[in-house]
Amino acid sequence: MVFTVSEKGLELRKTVEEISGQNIFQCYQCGKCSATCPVVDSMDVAPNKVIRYVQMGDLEVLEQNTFWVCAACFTCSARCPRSVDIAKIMEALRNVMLRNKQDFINIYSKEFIEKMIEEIPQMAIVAAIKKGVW
Amino acid sequence: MEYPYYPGCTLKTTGKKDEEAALEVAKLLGFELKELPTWTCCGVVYNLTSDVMADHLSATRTLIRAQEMGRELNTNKLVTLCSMCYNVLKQVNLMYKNNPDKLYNVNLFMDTEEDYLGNIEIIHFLEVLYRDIGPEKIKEKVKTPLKNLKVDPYYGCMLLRPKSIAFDSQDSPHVMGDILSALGAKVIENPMTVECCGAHQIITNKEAVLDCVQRIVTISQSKGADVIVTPCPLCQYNLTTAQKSLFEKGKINQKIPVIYLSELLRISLTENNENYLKDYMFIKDKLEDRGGL
Repeated sequence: MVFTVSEKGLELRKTVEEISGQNIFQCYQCGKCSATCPVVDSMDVAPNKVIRYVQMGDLEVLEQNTFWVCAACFTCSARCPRSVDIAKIMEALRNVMLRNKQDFINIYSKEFIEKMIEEIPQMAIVAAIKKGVW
Repeated sequence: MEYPYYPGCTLKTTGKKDEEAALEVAKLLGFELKELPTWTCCGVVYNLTSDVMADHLSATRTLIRAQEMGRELNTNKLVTLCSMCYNVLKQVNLMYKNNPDKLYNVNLFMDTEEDYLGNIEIIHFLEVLYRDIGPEKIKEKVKTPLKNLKVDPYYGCMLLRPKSIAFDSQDSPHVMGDILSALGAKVIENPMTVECCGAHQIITNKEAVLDCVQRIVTISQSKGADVIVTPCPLCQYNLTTAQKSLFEKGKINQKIPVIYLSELLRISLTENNENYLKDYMFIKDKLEDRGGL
């Protein structure tokens, strides 16, 4: 069976590799990252699948919520047997979206402003903004 | 001994208790944390991309402030209390050590600041307690042994990951456990001690945080913990508020208090701790129940 990767798919793969500094084909799909991820239950697709999407140059990866749900806790990166820094790949995918002006959080929304009034530590607010707003 | 100290934003608001207690504990143990005269946000999360430098600038400014103060105090150390500040500052520092060209560029860019020379050492308050003071010396200074108090030390992510900045074993850390044992507390081994609490997902995806906290707390509960201690202000907040929600939903049948390690240290090391114990009735009750105090 022959797979063809679209031009845009190739571009995405290249961009992700450039931003993350990781070799995406280092991953051999063992699934350790998904097994160890603490927030995998809230993800559309598991982290190892996200990497597979990128390997295959499948643009559908950008429609999944996986990289937005990632809390950058580095558990996957710490436990990957192939030393792939998965957290960096998630950050790269977030950046692909953000650099295309597709923010995850609308900081002017009522919902977000209400959060600011709650007693949430500002470190959480700054972290969420840094991960979800360009 | 005096250490330059960087508090970070949250220790001045929701994490106030940690700072108050830690400053006092430092005095009791014979060292002083001197706050940097001016400081900015550290950036909270380390930018993981390879091509964005702007995100590292705020941390760099803090490193330069530490360099200035370090000259006065004759030290190259900078102490943090917050896990996330520790993580970001140490990762940025390490990045400069590994890429001198990036440091060169940043120094050129920030032309109103003095050059950062790259030799500040970031240490966490726990490291000062464990390495510079040591559990044995802490044991000598204990006024109220926390006899029979079952404590679950919860580390969270930011002190131990990634490996390049970890100050303790990544999978089975022992620093907090050793300090707590020195205070006479009974330390519980929780396999979830290095798991993530959900961090900033509390804002965008609260359900994920509830799941994480439920896993952590359920084991803590089944092991009979009286209290969970953590060094991180965000873990403390997440664990406390998520437990409230979980309790209302009936997913857990008991709430375990979550406090900072420094608070427990202050109770144990102060001579007349009645004043402090007032705020921590659960500890007082537990100690008295079992004939501790």
